[in-house]
Amino acid sequence: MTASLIGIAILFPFAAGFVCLTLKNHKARAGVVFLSAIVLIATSILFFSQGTFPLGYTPSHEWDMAIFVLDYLLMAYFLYLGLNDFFRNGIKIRNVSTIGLVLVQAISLALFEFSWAPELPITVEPALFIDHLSLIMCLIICIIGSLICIYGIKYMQDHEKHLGLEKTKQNWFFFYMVMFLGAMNGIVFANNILWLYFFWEVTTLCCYALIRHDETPEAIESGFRALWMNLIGGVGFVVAIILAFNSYGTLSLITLISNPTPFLLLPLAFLFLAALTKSAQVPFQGWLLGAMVAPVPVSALLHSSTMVKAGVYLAVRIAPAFWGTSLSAMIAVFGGFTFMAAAILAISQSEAKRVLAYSTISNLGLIILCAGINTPLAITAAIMLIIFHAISKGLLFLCVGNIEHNIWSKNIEDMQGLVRRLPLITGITIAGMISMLLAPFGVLISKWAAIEAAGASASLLSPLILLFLVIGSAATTVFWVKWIGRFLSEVPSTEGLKMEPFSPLYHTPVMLLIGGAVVLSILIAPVYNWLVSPAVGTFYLTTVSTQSWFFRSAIGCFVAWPLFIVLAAALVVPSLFVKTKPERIRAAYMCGENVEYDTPQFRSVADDKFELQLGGVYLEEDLGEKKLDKWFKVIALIILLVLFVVVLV
Amino acid sequence: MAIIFIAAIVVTPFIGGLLRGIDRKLTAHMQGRIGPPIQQPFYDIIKLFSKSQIITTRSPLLLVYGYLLFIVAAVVLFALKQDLLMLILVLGVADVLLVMGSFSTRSPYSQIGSNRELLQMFSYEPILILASIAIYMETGSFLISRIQQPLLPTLWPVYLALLIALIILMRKSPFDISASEHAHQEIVRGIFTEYSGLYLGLIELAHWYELVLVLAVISLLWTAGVWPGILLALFSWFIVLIIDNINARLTWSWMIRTSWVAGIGLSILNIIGLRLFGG
Amino acid sequence: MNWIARSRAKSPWLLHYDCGSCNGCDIEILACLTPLYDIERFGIVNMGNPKHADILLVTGPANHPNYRVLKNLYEQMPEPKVVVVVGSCGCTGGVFHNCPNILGGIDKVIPVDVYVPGCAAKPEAIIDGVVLALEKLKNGK
Ligand code: SF4
Repeated sequence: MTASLIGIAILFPFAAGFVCLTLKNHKARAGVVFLSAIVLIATSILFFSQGTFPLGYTPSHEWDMAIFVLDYLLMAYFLYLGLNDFFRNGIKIRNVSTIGLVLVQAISLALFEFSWAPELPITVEPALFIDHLSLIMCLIICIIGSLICIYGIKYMQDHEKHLGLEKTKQNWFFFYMVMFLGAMNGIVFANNILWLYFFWEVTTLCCYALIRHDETPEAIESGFRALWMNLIGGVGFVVAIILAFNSYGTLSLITLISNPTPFLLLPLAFLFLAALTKSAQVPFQGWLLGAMVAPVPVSALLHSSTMVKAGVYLAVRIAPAFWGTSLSAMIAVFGGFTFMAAAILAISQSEAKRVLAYSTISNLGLIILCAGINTPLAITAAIMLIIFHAISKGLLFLCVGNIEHNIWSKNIEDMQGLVRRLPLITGITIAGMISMLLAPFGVLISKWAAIEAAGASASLLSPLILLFLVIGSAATTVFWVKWIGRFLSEVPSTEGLKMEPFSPLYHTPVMLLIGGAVVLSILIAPVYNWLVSPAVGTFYLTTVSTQSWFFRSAIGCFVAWPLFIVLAAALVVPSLFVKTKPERIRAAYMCGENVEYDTPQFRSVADDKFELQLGGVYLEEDLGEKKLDKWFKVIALIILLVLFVVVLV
Repeated sequence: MAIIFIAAIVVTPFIGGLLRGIDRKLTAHMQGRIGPPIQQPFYDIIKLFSKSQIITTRSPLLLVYGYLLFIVAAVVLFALKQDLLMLILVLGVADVLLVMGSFSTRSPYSQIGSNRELLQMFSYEPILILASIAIYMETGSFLISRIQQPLLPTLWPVYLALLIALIILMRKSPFDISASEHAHQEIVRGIFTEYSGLYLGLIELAHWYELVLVLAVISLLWTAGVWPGILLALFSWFIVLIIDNINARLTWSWMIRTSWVAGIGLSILNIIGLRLFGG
Repeated sequence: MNWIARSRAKSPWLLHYDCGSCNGCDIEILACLTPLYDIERFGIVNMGNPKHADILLVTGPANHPNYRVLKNLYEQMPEPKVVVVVGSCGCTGGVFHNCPNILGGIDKVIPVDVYVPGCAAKPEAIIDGVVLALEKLKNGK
């Protein structure tokens, strides 16, 4: 039973992807996507309810061989991409670095496998290892990823209509989208590092292909940037594989993690390098920001359930191995710095997707910070963040996609007063932002745990980490709230709200996601007990108790559900009280110079009408990308350098 | 527990209102005036409640109730001696709701006010969080109920930082940039411009709760017996009044610089000190 | 006296609007804020925002260019509200009477409750006028 479920989770998406590729008919393709979404969701839930964890599983030996071969094929394809671009466009950073990095990877891996390795291909017992952490990831990937794919069905129709494409490219789009889910499941299940590496590279491929989907020059450039930056991580992976095998003679991830020794730190540092390129941490954030040119479902997928989550998954996965070392402290500093830097940079952004991207980078930094602090409470925070961030961020991207298809703009300033024009989707978006921003929602409970864990960490670097944490979280509030403010800014009107028409393929996924974010936040205690606690408990002693559904750690206590009662009261009570009779409505105060009460206009010189123009604060001069970006990159590089120096010494 | 719960909800606004009344009286005296009677804030609020309701848009009204309820929730959390960090986060929720409320009318003054209020949160929130962490490092728990010894001797830099936060939270000069204490200035009443009558009254009520809550947090720094803490809080409050009266309003960038360099700087130094020299 | 009436009488907030006066009366109004007269003794606060105000204090005559503004401000004040006109030119047009762009007294545009004559009105008279207006305010008009 479990074996077949694992098989379905990994292989079915690959198969469904190939079917999508061959289908030319839109309806049939939509059917396949829909079917695979349902199959994946059912599989993950069945897996969760049936399996006993942790469990190991080793499929037949042929699979090792297949992955061995496919790995080199994949690298050959990357090489082809680089060379192709080289011959077409001449020397560019993108193709040179791609070619170089692929060659380094391929040659060192080949040297290792063909000359040093005792057997070919190297096998590991068990090849797949699934504990609750993998299971949580699998649930996230299958459920949220599938919802995003369903959303993509209608989105891509509208997208192509808007672009006016003659020949649809949706078959390729869904091929990669669905395959992505399979590769991600592979990553979270794999125990053999070579397998992990293979799936890792498959996600890089999918990511590259999806980003350049629109084939505009900008898209191609961004695609290549994603490719080569992730290939840096790939090189880190290969080095880690070689080093680990050299000193341990095995490539079983679990064996490495459960028997930590000082020799292990260097391979772990290289694995961490791979993780942080995948998670787009500063200074590698460029590829994720560039990825914003891709269609919205791609961004949603990259940011919530796949790709970047693979990086933080790996960081959390290997965290037990560097417990209590200086590497751990440096990782916390690194994550903390990214958390702060990305949150500050987000303030100056006026493009919706870029704000979301920076927010993602920032949250991933927080997760990595938690992995670095490496106490049970911190790991709890990290895993809860992975869950709640995936839900809320997936939701927000889908919402922004829908808004974009209504107003055909991604600029926040164009979303002024949108709550009146598109009440339904704007309301959901605001709710989603609030779930990222305010207590008592899940993200904030995690942040609370993270701050308390950082305060309690014994490391000498903890004041620095705390500094990053508090500034980062204050900046987070600023950029979310000012965006919400643009949505809300409406003109007085006596008319009631008119909902926009309900479109099932757009609205159902976002409604399910916002429902999930709220319900899971309320049910934080059972979520913790069923999922998070066992996941932490595999390698740590859990310290959190959920007596009477309070979230109680050794040093603090978060009372979530009473706050939800307050929240409900704050929403329900006033709707009973507040009366809005038309005769009560007055104009906004503009020194008495309003033209009409319901227009944003005022009279000025010679009684002429002037449009009232308001905007958010962006603090471009003080916190703009131009000013800060390079400094942040330099500092992050220095931290990274120190990290490696610390490990070597 | 039920008694504490009810007492916290009922008694707090009276203390807060009284403090506001004394505040106005003292301020008037400092300016050589006689000033209103001490019960003036209560007159004001009853009058505000009795006024007819006029509104601009609907959503601010909903959010004002949220603002009040979350502040009351924070007060109750304090009274029940819960987690200090969570309390600060809840206070943050309240403030965000207020800002969202004044963002939701397209009015130049309330928009500027709310943008500035955001920057105010940007300045004081780090200080509060760091203060709670410093208190944790001394007591070994984030729970307020675990604070038993006077903390001021080791935490005096945090106390100074908290004073800065207190000025910002009380919206006093030099940091009353989001809602000028006295109208007739360039942003009228900032974030409060578009609220009137009942809703302004609710905001005022929330302020009373907030004032008492923040002073109560400061009083935690000296918890030996009842009085020292209260005296410490009142002393800090008085200092803020003096600062208010001898300062003009400053720009937001100056506020952020001061609160970050002085406020965060002091707190972090304190935390480093605690980390290095035990605690 | 019940609580509400008492509170209304004790907490009148002002909105001061200059409708085109010679500024003589405005200076007298500002004088009321100084330590010498200290109108805050009576709970009076100069609000500068119609949405918070109970009393509209107008100086200067009603005129074509800004009667619209006056009306707008008056409409934005929540009930109960009273209007106090300060200075002769606000009462009747005063020295500006019959000028081409002048409509006349403020009562040509909005209903006025208390007239404070004088050119310029003395601070004592202004305070007196406001206190007179309180009687109306108390009963919710
Ligand atoms: S009444 Fe006299 S002093 Fe007052 S504003 Fe009119 S002209 Fe000036």
